[in-house]
Amino acid sequence: MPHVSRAYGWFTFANYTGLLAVSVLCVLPLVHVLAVSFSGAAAASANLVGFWPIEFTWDAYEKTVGNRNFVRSLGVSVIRTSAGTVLGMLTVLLVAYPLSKENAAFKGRSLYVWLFLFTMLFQAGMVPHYILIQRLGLLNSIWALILPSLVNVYNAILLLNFFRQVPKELEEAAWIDGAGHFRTLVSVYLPVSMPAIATLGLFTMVGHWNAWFDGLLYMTRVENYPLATFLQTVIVQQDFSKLAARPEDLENIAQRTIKSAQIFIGALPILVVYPFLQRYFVKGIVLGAVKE
Amino acid sequence: MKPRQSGLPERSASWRAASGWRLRRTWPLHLMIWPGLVLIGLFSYLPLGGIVMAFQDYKPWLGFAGSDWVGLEHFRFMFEREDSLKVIRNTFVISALKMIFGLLAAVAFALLLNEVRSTPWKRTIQTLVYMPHFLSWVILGGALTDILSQKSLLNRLLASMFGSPIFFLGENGWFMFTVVVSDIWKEFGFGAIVFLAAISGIHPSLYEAAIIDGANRWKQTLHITLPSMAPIIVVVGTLSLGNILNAGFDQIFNLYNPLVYERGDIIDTFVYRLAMLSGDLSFATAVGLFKSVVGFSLIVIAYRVAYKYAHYRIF
Amino acid sequence: MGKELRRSSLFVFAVVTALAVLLSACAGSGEPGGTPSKEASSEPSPSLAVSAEPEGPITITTVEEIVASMVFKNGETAENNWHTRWAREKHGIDFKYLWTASSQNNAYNTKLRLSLTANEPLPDTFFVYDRVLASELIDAGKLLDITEAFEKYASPRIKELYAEYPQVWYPVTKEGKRYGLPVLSAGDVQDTVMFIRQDWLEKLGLQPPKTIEQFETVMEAFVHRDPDGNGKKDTIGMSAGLKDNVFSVIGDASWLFGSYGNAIPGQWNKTDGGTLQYGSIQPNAKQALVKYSEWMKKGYLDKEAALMDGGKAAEAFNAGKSGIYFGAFWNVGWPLGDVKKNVPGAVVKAFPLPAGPNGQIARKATQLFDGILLFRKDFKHMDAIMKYYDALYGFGFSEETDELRFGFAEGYDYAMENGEPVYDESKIPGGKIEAKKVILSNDEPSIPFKQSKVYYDLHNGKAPETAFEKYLYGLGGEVHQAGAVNYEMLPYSQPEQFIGAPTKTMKNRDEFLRKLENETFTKIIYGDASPDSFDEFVRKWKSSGGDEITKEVNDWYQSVNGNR
Repeated sequence: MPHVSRAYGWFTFANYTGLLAVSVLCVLPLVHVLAVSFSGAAAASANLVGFWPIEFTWDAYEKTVGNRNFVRSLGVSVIRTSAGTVLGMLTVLLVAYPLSKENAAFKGRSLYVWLFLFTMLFQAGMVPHYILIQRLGLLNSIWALILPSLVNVYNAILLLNFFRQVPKELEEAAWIDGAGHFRTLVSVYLPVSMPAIATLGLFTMVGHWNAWFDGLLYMTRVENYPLATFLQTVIVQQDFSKLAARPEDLENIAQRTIKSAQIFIGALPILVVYPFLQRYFVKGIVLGAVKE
Repeated sequence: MKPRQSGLPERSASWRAASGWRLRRTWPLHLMIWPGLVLIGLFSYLPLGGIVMAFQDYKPWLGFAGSDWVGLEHFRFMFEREDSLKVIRNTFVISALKMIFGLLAAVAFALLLNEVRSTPWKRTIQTLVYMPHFLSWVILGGALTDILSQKSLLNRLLASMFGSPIFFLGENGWFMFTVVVSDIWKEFGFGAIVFLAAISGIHPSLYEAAIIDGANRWKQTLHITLPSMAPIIVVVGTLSLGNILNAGFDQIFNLYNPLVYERGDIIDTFVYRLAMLSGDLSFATAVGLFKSVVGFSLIVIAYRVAYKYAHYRIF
Repeated sequence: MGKELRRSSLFVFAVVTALAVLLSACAGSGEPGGTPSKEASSEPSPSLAVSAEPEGPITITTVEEIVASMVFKNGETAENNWHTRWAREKHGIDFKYLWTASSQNNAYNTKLRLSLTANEPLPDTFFVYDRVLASELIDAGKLLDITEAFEKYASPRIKELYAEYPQVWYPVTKEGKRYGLPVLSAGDVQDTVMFIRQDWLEKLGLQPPKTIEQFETVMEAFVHRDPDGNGKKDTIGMSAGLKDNVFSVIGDASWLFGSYGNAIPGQWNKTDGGTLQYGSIQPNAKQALVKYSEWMKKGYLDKEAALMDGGKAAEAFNAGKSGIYFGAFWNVGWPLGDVKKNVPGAVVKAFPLPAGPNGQIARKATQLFDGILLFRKDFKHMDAIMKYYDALYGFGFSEETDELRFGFAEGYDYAMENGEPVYDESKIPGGKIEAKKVILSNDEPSIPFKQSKVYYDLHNGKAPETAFEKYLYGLGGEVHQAGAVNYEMLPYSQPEQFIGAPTKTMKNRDEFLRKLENETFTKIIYGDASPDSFDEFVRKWKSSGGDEITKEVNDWYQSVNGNR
């Protein structure tokens, strides 16, 4: 451990302070949202809540979680997210590995890459996608939420860049041992790229968990909405323009507390899973023995 | 330091030709790619046929075959509006600012966090800073209105220092500033994750060698950390070019108001208002096509530039 | 070693999960999830129609728009509840739901458009709020002409009611034929009234303002004389939301325009000459804007008003920092109901709008119809539907023979106690829910203005007799007071006269013109633009398509009026 220069000592102090300050700045809004979600509706609607609940109540959570469809939607989201993430990562792995090779070594690579990239930028919009899903008989099926996004080109391109940084020696060693491409992928690239895979896995998971628009389009029964769609659309009435204005409607309208509870519930699973993935990209694992 | 690209082991050309191992070597690669190709063929390319909607007066009951062909009418409409150039300019500017500073912020944060030796602190900070990513702009919009209001704590502070409060969300210039800064604050933590992953892949022996050579931490960052991150930074930056005309609808929609239409109205908010009135599906498709063409062109340009001048393939 | 174990177990776990999911999904899709089976189930209608059996229930397919206030109990769902049972038993109608979608984010409308696009068969009948969507469907030639059926099958009382408001047919009329059934609204539930903190008035010794001058005096006092008694000058006079539009059902600002003339901004008004003119370019708009800019300078309004919608604008009121708020009569319950909880002693009362210099008052009127019930072109059971519709009106008409006169479902929105209906939440076993949300029209069809009159009567001491009156009685004195004020202000309500489909130029230019309008209005109010920029705005509006639109609107007006 080299001696730390005085300048570096100052830097470290400033760094810690700065980073901590920024962290606090980042977490405060979530604390506020949490506080609002546990507050009474009156205080929330007058925007009186700061970082601590006023008139503590479980009301917002009861209304959200207690809604009959909540558990069902939660189930849909869990299945969709786990299947989508696992299958998606598999697909991305299979696509990124060949694309990471040099053009000379893999004829047609360039063509492939542009074929994939093109789809990332050009989308036909809601109507053709809906027609396709309908013709495939996938309406109201969970596969409509999983299949279309399996090939995440952004992730694939990121991963191929990570793959390119894998030391050649590791690969050569595997080949010398007689490994083909599949074996090399699994035994060499996979372990070394865990930070990248954890990162992309996280991205995929978050993407699936928060996706609500496809659920809205493709599920023909409100009961089959994934959680994000459910939270976005069913729980809270935000659209005042259609207010037919029966006084009794108004209890359900735009309660700040319920919206806040939704946000927290929506974020919770990711917050829970996150620490398990975090160690892959915060500390860093360099696996394998690379003989110098 | 150019990043290494893994390929095939060194072999003499004759050996290669003789053994025909190229095909033997590459058929698994083709095999691996084909599932992905089939999927995008089905779910991306097939629906792309529907892009003809952008050139039609699409009516749902007539379908693609029956709707009238209007050629470039939608594009003409988009550009003929008196403020269309303004709207496009706003979109470009806001997007570019967000891209550049967002990238800088995420990279800088990753580097700074890398200097934190204590792992528990490192993980705590990292967990906290990515949280704003999960807040929706619906909630943040209201929160920002309060925090930045002219009567707020912040503004009272500013007023005492500079004489008058700043109407952050009501003045064009400040609005753009607020939009860019708040978006960076929201996303830098999440965006830095991929850079942290890149950093964690750097072999410690590189640092050890540098330390032996007498390099201090700053030099190490400059000559080891940054160059190792370079491929990822470049690819993230390049791919974000594809989004150049998506300036962030959710955020702008929740923050903008008539006082800042001048600088704050972007393509997507304009399309939204139009869709509210007419339910016109083909216009939205035309706009989407326009955005895609511009974004794609930029990526192609970036790729070609990188290849021509640095002989580097971004992807 | 441990790492490898973890790695491989992770891999195994992944594979197992994937397989499990695949299997469950395959099993799951055995359910009637795909579209083909849906198409099969919607076939029965045409064939049944041909045979027209009088005994067994007829299947009518429809779709449901799910709103947040649609709550269920007793394990019911949108597709299987008191309503579906009642329709089957009492009217021989078996409602089958092809799909359901949320009303949020335009999901329901988008779904309808998408299903058209994918060539799915339209449901037999369905309800839409969106006039534009309805007109698209009419143009598509997919809807049934119900002119004759209405004449033949509608009950006399319904025909009488609709005859009173012939303009409700305009949105669905094409070439003299009617392609949908507009469902009447309560008539005035979106009209603006004024709400003031009565306790502030009393504390400062002020009278409720009847004119604009008095109104200004009150606001001056609210800002400078510390009505909340905390020693700080942190209160404002009036709260309004200017983010989207000057008009809103909550946090309205358009009322002031009516104090200077009858032309309501943002809508098409009838002029003395008999033509329709757009309200936002009339002289009274300029006067109102100038007034607002004065008030903004004097600090009567919230400095962030342009950033707020009505809900956000209500926050200041609810926190006890603002004294006046404008909106529909029911605002007293929400969003203004919370102020009583936050500020002990707060009293909110409704008042008539202050009059302008010539005693002038005008406000925007509510649409006479909530939405439209549409029917697929080859639908054969209009007779059954009209009978069902008449029964739904039972709550509104409240005649002795009406089954629904007490409420929609006993044990849901009312309970019987000693032969009398009670609406108290605590008296209904299992809690009270709004049963009417699941009926075909999503809400009860109303008799326009009846509700208002009842509020007025109740507030003035009348004892509730009919079930309808009892139901409204249960909503509380505050609502009656506000409703009574609303009723008194009816003569000042100016309706939107243009209720046809958007015209050609409108589709092209309306968004731009509205953007221009909102920008100009807000800038003038904030003092960022001089009042004379209003004249420039009018010039620009007219030359950028406004004149064409005016002509098209008047052509339409001639065409529908000519049919009367």
